[in-house]
Amino acid sequence: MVNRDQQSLEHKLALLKQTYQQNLQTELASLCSVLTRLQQTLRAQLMTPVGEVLDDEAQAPRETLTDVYRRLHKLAGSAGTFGFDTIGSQARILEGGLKRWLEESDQEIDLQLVNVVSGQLQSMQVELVPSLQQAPAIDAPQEVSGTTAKIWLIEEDDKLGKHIREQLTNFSYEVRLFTSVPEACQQIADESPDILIVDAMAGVGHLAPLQALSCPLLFISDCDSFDARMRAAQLSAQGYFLKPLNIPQLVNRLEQLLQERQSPPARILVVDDDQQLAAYYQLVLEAAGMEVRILDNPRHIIDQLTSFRPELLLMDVHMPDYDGPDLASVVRQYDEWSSLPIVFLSAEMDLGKQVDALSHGADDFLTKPILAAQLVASIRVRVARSRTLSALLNKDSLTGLLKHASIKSAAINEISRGYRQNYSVVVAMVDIDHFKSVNDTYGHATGDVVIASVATLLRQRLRQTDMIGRYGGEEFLVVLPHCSAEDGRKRLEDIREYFSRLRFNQGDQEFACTLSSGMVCSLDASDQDRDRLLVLADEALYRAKRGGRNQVCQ
Amino acid sequence: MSSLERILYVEDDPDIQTVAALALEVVGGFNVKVCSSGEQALEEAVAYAPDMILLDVMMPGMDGPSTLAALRKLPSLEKVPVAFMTAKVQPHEVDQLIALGAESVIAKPFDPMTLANQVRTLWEQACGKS
Repeated sequence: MVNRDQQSLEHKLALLKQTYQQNLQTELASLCSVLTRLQQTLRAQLMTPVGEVLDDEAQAPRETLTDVYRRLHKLAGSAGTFGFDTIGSQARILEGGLKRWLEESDQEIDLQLVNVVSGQLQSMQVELVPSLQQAPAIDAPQEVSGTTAKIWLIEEDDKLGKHIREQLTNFSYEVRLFTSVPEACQQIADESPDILIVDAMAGVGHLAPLQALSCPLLFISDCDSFDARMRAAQLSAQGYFLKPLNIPQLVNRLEQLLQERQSPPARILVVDDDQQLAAYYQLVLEAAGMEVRILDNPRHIIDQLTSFRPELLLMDVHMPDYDGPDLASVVRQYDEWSSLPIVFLSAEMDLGKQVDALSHGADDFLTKPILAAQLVASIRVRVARSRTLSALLNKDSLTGLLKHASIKSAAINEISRGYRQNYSVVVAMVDIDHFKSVNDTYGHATGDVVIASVATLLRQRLRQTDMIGRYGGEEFLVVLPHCSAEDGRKRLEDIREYFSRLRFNQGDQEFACTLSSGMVCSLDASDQDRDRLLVLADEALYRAKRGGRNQVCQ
Repeated sequence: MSSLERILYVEDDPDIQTVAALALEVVGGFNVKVCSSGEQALEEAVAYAPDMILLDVMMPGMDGPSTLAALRKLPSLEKVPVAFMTAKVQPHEVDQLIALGAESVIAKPFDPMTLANQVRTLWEQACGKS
């Protein structure tokens, strides 16, 4: 009797679970489409010049998100009961973060927040119906020069504009030329640039729609006055270049800006016993483009550090089982983490406590409650500074490439990893031909421009995963993992060819340079040569030089 | 009041209504009356004369706390034990709900197999106290 009841109960529960699964699927799909509509609304608002009112039938973003929060709260409470534990806890985290966000009255609902929420909802959908997952983009082979930076140039003087375009195209940027701001504005619905260069004379007053693109803005101008520079600063320009333009200097700045934009998101590990607050920090930081993980159990901190490799640890001071400062001390016991920035967050008003926390190896102390914008700014600055420091330690100041020791050890590691995991690695030496005579004829400053151009070219035309270092004065070492001899050769030929087409200027004189390269593929090396790939590449470079230069030898 | 028999259950989510009613009726053997809103609960509570009341916290219209306040004003329901059911399980939020005069807080999501026992235990604790 009991047994039959039990069976019928299980049967009924299974049926309910089935119904619930269907409802859950519908609900998640509906939430996703609500978010998609909200994304569209916000995008449309960005495109509309200030003052113009959109036909606003849609709900205000805040109300929409409040409704999303309520629906997520419901899912957080119900999904687990029907056995969908993962979705339930994902909903709970998202719900908690969203709630805090909505409570912070200073928070404008911005597109980035909506993007983050939308992304998390989609991953819940995938969790429920794994077949929804689209083919991951990461599997697609990385194109060598798939990401040519798009530059928009707004210059009223057509002749000058064409001249600048030509020179920038030499550095393999894709340049679109406009003669007025409104002309460029018409294009923003279809595409957008990575960087915008505007002549200060070209009707700066109508820039608003272009500024909404949030791409870096550079000014070029004939006028070097305080007022003109101040106007540029007020428009948040990230550079001000005087005509006649010094192109290598401009390119240098462009590269810096592009690197900042392409730099991988900051990785932050959050440690807070208040789950909801942790979720809120996660949401705020992710909306600012960072990658965030929440530590679920303080005992796992070292494992999490090792697997996630955060660039900053954001930690609550008071936690029930272990105090924040003590946890920081544990982290500092490991040499590997001795320089990891640790930032404490706490409602602690007592100065003594703060000093105590700082003396336990913390780098900074932020007081709760903290405005979202302030949190993002503090963390961004910390991460940027720590990245700069590690770049100073490992990178060459002229080229921004790895220094001799760093690239050499990176090469050795990559070669042995390739042999261990059975993939092919190409190692190549690249050397500028007759560089000494460039220095002697045009001076060291011009020689530096040539070296920096090779570095720029290598960075632009190799993949993000490739390693590039300045091996000696005018000699570079590149390591291309997962690359066949044939592909490696193609890439190097491509770089050699491009470099020979660049024109350099010194005063009125124009000149060109060439480079030679020697390469070796790990699969072509005999067993006893496995430790000598660098030497083999060097020997190949020597053959290229002896064979007449401006060539790639294998 | 010798044993727990009649439970008034207030919850707006139909999926949760069904599974909770099933859990309380089949597993616990209780008599359950489901109301979909605080307003409906106020209309039906006196006539039903429950031994225990379970209240969802977040509901459109009257939420859990205001339903509790209104129920407590009805003389026959003044002393009936009430438990909130909620997905909020932050300790300070639980404390706030208890301070409103509830006996306890049942965390969502709940396990349908153990819900009935949990409710019975809460009810016995409440009666033992009074």
